[in-house]
Amino acid sequence: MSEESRIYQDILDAADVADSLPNIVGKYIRTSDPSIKYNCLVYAVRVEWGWFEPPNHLPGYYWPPGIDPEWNDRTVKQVLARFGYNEISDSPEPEDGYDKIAIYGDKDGPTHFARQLPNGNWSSKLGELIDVEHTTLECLVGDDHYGNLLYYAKRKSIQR
Amino acid sequence: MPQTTKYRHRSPSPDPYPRAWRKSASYPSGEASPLRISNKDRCGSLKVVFTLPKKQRVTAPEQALFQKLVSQWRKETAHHSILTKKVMHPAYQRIIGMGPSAIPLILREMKSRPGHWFWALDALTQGEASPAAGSNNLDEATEAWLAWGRAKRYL
Repeated sequence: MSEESRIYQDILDAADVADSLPNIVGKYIRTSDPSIKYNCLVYAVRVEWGWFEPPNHLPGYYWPPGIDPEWNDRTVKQVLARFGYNEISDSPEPEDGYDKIAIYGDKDGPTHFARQLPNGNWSSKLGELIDVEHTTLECLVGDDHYGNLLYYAKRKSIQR
Repeated sequence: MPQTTKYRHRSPSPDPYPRAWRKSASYPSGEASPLRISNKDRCGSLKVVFTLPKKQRVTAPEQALFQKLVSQWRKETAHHSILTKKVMHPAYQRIIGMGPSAIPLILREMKSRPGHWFWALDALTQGEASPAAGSNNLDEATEAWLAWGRAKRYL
């Protein structure tokens, strides 16, 4: 892709983010291209492959075996625990030696997951849009965004 | 002096077969070739029968409606990671409601920009086995549907 095409694509991608999530405009750094290869839950638990979705009749999606095939707070906690995030916290502050995930949700259950970076910022995969680094969690809160912050899940860091 | 080639078959065009063979050879694996060699005529020439499906046509109003619905759907669901929130969106449901005329439009959209169109395609092709069966990820599923679309001449 030429430099000109790259810039043009960046502008289009930024417009998509602004269309869907206006509150985050000006508060993020783009860190990837758009993709439907993985979703925010996959990205948050640092797997980065597959689109986690409870089993349905459509091929191509993935759901960890042994977990009830439905999307709700209970099954999502089981998925998080499967990847080591079995401690719940109510603090967004970085904790030395721990990886932390923020869980957003609405009346239908969890809607989004952001993982904490070593510098205290957060990293999110925005649906089928781009990955971003954002300094606050509140920029994704709202009825037309991801609802409210529900809780934080953490595990002993495997990166340090 | 330029060389000339003599052809034994009866066709008035100099070489109708190689193009057909190329098309047959490039057909997606697993798909039935549209080319059939039915028999030989009495002079011994091959009789070639093409059974290509008719190219699907879409009207301008259908195209305009589709683009409007896609735009709305993307704006309101592209940031969601949960399939239910995407496919139950009213715009997505209206696209399914357009019926079979939405199939080529969806495939063209999917070709230019991959998305979660599998649910709609599955609903619009009821009774057919999913071409994406056995796909391990969404890239493979997308490619399988596009290959199906080319074979059916939707693309």
